[in-house]
Amino acid sequence: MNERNYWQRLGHRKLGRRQLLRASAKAGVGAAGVALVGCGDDDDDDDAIAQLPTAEEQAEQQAEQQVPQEVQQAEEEEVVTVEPSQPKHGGTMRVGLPGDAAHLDFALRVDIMQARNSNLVYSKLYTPKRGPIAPEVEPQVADGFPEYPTPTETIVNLRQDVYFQDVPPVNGRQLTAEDLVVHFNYITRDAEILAFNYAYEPVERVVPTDKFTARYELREPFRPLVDYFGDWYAGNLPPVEVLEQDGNLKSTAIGSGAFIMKEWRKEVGIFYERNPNYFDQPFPYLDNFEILVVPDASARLAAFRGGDFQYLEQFPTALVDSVRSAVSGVQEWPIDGWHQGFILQSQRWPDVRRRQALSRSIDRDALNEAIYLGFGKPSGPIPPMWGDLARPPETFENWVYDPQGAKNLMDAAGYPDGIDLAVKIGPYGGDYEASAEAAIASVRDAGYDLTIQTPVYADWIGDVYTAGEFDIALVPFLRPQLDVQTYGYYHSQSGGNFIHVADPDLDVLADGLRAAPTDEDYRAALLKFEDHLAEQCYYILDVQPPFWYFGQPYLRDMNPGIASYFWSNLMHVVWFDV
Amino acid sequence: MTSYIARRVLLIVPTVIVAGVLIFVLIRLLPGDLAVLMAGESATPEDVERIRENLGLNDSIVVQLGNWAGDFLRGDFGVSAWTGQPIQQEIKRALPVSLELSIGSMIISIAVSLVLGVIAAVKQDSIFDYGARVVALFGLTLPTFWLGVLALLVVSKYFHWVPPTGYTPIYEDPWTNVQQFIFPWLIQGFVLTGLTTRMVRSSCLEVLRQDYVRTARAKGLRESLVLRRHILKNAMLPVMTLIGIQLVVLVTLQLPLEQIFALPGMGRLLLGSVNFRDYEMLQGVIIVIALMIVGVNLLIDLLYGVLDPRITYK
Repeated sequence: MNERNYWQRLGHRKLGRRQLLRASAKAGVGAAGVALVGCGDDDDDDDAIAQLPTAEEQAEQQAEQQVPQEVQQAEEEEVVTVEPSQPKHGGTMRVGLPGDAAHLDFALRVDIMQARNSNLVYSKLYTPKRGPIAPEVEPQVADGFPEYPTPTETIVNLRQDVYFQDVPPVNGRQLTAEDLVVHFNYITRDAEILAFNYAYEPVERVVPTDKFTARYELREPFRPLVDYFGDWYAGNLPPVEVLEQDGNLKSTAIGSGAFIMKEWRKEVGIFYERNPNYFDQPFPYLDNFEILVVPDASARLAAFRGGDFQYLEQFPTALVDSVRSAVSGVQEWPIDGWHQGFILQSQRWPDVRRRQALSRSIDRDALNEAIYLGFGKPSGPIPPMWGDLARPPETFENWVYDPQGAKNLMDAAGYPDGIDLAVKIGPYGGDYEASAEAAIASVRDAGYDLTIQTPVYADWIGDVYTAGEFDIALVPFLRPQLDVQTYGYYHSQSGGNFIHVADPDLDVLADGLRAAPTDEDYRAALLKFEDHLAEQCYYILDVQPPFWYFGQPYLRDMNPGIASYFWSNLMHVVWFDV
Repeated sequence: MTSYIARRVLLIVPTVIVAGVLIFVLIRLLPGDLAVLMAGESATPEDVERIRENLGLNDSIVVQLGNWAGDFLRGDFGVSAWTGQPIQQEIKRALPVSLELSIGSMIISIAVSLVLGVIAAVKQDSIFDYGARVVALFGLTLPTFWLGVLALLVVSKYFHWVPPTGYTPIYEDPWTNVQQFIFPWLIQGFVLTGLTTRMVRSSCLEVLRQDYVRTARAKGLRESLVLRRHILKNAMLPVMTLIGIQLVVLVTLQLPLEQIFALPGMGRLLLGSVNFRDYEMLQGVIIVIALMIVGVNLLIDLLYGVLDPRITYK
């Protein structure tokens, strides 16, 4: 960050011919141009980024229109013609996010900033394949897909051209099978609370068989392991040198990913530069990447409108029109978002008819139109983000809007006059809160009179996710592994079973999914699992909301999808067409 | 004078002790559990219990208070439960941002208020008076967050420009720093102008009716001299008190502007500490605020003596 210092930059500045020509042209423009320049950005910024024209650039354009012909010719001689469709290097991507990371250790509690940092800096064995749905992974630093010599062994081969970033104390050494052992030991250690470490529970140990090959020895057949290798959080591969130096990854992030973290300024932002030794050349295209902490949504929108930010994400549907009108030619991507719905504390809802009545009373189509302008997707028991692995709600009797049927079920369950309950809502705001209110209004038809309780975040986590202190709650959730939504949510032995389901039949089905030897077996097992969920209604999903992403007109190859949430497998391919 | 200052400085000690104990107890009455927050969504009750034990949250509140007080007396504010960073370091990072924001807006506010307030008083019930009072009224009623959003909206929509996002220290890049602060300074300065202008006006009106002002004029002194030496100097006493309070409040309560203009000041540090139930951080921040209040009050009291020779300290 040396060059961020103004005085040093001033000393290092070189005045080129182009600058001289521009300066002389500017001088002739007059007071109006000067006034605009005064409002503009810093002309000396070495990190000058490709943006929409700022006021200063507009002034320059006006100035250049008035330069003498010979000056223009001289300038034109220097212009390098680039095909607009050809990716090219250069530019600084600036993005605003609402909050800073508490720390940068992906193995501990995760948050919005930290997860994105991890995906820029680290690589994984496998990574979610870019696209509109999320069921597949593709090799990243792995050399091809794993081999399965026995049901309890998974062999992974590494690419031999992967090096860590050339930053002390790692200094650009090669990534080897020993790093897979370090990774496994770190994310499954007992010392601290780890995020989603239950994903690796079936793995007994990792044994390197040569420099670039490791064998994962399993306690039981565990087909989804390859998906967890591509996990947004737990899949990142850290170097042992940082762990030996700091004991954790809280403040130092060095990986083998596309961007090198240059500086983390608390509550200001994280600054990155291109990793010149990235194994997947010619990526990344961007020279620099900056994540700025901008808590206010309208300020982020203003920065996007002013050209200071290239990219906006996760805007509420209600603000979509504001963004569209803010920048001419803005690109937008309404991608599949998290899934959400009512979770019912199973031990307090023993009668299946009450659960089924609740599901039948939700008008998913109306909710989608009212809250998400029709861009959401009504959800069955497996959310639509899983593509053809998920069936739509109309497939299942209990997931079709049927207020009279719901009422009949409530009568049969002994609640002809309905029931009053408190529903817990997380403090997330935006579309989530609006859709919660709509869903709650919808279920009144069946006699459910739900009163909203919005606890502070700590109590929300404690009551809903940890202690199970709720009757009914409306939760948003997003994970890139289908195993989380099958075994993770519903198996009685799973650490992620915050619904507290204890259904022996479901346990058998979930175990069967993990052990399915082929894709066909897996699909067949999933159909049975889904049918059982649709009947039992433990987690009543309503509509899968869209996430709204916006980009400046000159962004290319962005195309975010649910698989690239948290920027996984995304930012290294993006380039500026300017 | 020296003994007075020494007594006031000594009084800081019990003030800080009382403030510290109050803060310590009140923070723990906040709903929400730090251990639960740290454990996150995938934790079991056993995990939460382990964190609670590690953080010493299972100790009695007296033991926790004793541990904290012992560290504090040794000059150790502790470390953030979340980041593991020393709290002094976090405060050292945020305080300059808030001070720069506060001092800049105070300068604007004082300069504008003095002019408007004095004109409004001297030209009472004239068009200037009404104009100044309307400006003051707007300053009092328009919230900073609304002005901030409006400012960004206008410049981004009509000039396709926004101030450089984030915070760059003034010693690194003064021009970028000024661009980042100019809107917060102007907005906060304008809002402060409302109250200060009214205070200056009412103080001046009161002094204008004093006998010594009439005497000064009867002696044939120039009006500018009367204004500067007899009116303004005496009218400044209550204004000084107000400015002192404003300065302390500004350092800690500029959260809306910090949020909108992405400035990492004390307001955001305070909010983050509350949101994350970072008890030690919150205690550290509030103790610093308490010290600032005591220090500024002392400074204002001493300035009274400078402004009004009749005030002496024994």
